Amino acid sequence: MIEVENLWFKYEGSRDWVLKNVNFKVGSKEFTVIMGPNGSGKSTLVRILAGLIPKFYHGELRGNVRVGGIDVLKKPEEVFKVASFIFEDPEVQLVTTTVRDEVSFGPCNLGLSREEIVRRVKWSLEVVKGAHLEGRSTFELSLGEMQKVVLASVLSLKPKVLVLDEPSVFLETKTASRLYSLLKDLTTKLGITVVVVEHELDRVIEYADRIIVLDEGRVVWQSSVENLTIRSIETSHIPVPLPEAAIIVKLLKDERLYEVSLTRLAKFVKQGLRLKHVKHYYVDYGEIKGFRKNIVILKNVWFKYPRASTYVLKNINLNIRDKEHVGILGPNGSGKSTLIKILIGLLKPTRGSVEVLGVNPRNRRELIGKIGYVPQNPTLTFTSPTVFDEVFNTAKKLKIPNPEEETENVLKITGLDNYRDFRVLELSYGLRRRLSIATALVSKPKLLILDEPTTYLDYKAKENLIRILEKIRKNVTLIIASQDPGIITRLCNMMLVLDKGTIIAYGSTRKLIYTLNLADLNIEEPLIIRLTKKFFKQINYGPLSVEEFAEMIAK
Amino acid sequence: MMLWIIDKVRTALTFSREENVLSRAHIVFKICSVAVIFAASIAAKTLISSIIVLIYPVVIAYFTKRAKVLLEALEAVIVPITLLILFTWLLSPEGVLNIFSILRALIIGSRVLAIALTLLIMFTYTNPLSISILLEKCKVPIVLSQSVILTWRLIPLVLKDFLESFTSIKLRNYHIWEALIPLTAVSMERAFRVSETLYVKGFGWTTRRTYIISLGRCKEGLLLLIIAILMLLAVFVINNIY
Repeated sequence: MIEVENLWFKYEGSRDWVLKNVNFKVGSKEFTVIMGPNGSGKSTLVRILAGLIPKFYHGELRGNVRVGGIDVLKKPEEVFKVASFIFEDPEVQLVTTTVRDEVSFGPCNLGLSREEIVRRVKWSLEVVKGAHLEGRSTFELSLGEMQKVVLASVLSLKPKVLVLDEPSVFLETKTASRLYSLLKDLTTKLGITVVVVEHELDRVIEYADRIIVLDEGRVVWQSSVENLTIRSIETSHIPVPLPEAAIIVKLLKDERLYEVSLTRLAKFVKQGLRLKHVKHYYVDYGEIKGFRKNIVILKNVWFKYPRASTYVLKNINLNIRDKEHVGILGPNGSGKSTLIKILIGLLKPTRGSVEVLGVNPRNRRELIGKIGYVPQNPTLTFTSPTVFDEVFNTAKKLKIPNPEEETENVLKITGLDNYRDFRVLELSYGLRRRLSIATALVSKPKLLILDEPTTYLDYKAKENLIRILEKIRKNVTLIIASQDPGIITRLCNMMLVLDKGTIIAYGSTRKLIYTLNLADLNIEEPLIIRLTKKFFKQINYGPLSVEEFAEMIAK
Repeated sequence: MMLWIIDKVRTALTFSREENVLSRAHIVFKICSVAVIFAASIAAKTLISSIIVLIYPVVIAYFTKRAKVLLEALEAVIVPITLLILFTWLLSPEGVLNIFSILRALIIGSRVLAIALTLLIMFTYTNPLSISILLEKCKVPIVLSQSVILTWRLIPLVLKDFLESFTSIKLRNYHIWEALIPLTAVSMERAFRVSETLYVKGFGWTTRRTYIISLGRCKEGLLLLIIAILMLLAVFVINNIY
């Protein structure tokens, strides 16, 4: 269905080849995953498969690419007839104002008959299990719903090939699993070939038939997913993150399992390793104790967006103490980002009062330099052309003594000293996020607020980000909103769980993660937590990281 | 204040899917009604007649069964219209302490308010796709007619980005206008992504496009138009009386 031969590509004005002699074939009805670190050429490759290159992006393109029998390099404008493409951000892919119009947009462009279009709209919404969305406005959809509508809108074109660039990036784990399960159904039941770019092996390992790994523009590994083992990843130095199941097997040092397929290993570890069930397990990892001043106070906060019929936040009462590290966890549409926007003064509560660092956050002048804010899209914070200028100009605006020295210091802490002269818009998403953190840190704020900081990041970038935040968190109150419990368990001593605008729980991360059932909220707990809960029946306090898990097993 | 205005404009420009007389009315009648109200506003020469025109947005807001839509539209335009009234009065050649200059400022303000409120409420309950269909029937090229729906979809998103950008840079002591720099970059990226989306969905592949939505119902459209015409007649009558 897809044939790529000797493919080379470099963007106009660039010296370096983004893709270097890429060769692979994807068979009909196959579910293929393309993996690799940021900047390895994955997005470029899938844009070629969708015909967007050379139509939209210019550059030097060599080789042969055939998708569904169409020569992409010669007739890129015809690719849409056989292949549909979905980008990572569903919001910008909705081009009309109602779900029905959106799903019918493609077939309408083909000039099909009304009856056929109506039939396709119904069919594609049913396939994505979104028939109930047909009458809705696109402005009122949650991210998970948007993703469904986007998928339905391309399915209505009846493609033979579906290409998706990081479709799960904005979705909570369970919704992402449902999306992948749906894509798997499309391959098995409808015979559609699916190609997906994904960073997290854990998310796709159950569904993929084949994995292609790119590194620095080259295919460094391609095979059936059944051939992927701990040994093959280690000996071939494949740049993919080990799934959690593999990490645990490595900790147990059982070398026999190194040769077992990762797919089977994941199922095996999920079913339970042969460990004795211990009745009770308790370890004190040291919680923050003693009196600390409340620096964020929310009293009876309610919030409703204009034109919405329901409240996004309902009666939120919250106190956050100085130097506390709070993770706000919740599924899509639970009100995490709205809460963050209220804390920074972007939104005014419909009812109730908010106090941040002793003032109402709507009074932004009082909070200049005291709050550092890193939005979900870091590009929204950039005002200067280069990395150094961005931080330096902020330091000058904030009248910080020795701005140059402070800039150098912050760039070093965030690992951006080697990128100081890079243009901000040429940075990868991971580096943009780090730069946004650097500009937030330059004033040494008392409170640092991050909205979905791991979005778009590959495993290396995520690990780098966590390390940076680990370094700086000692002297700052940290608030992180995320649907990724992994980052919250690593960085936050307190956890706030939101669902449908209500606080489900607020307390010590270590206690809550072991007493709550996050699966009820569509959030998949990290495997460490799941396993510990399984082995220790009455546990209410346990390890949060792989290292702590190993320590516990040793005990 | 600027942020408040932007937030309110964003709300007023957000499409609502609710079913009511306004959303069901035929697009041609809606456009004609707006044109008639525009004519009535121009024709209104006295304060009373210009206030009469203001009844129209109140009536159509009543038809939506959601009185708040009037308040939302009012909030979006209240500041610029107040400024318009103020400057018309202050810069009047007759001087500030003159009843005619005050009256003129109020008449101009209420005329503009009537047009703005009518447009905002109408647009809230108008599927932009129906305007595209109408434009295409008038032989407007497909790419231009489709720009209408894209603009409709993107304006609230761009305004949302602006608010977020402004808040984050304000915390670093930047001025409001400096938020335009990241906003431009993000909007360009957004626009580029939208054009890619259109391309992969086969937009522009053929000039023969099918539509599955209707232009609306004449009965409701006629009702809106008759009320607008009544307003226009009332304006003429009151103009002659006073």
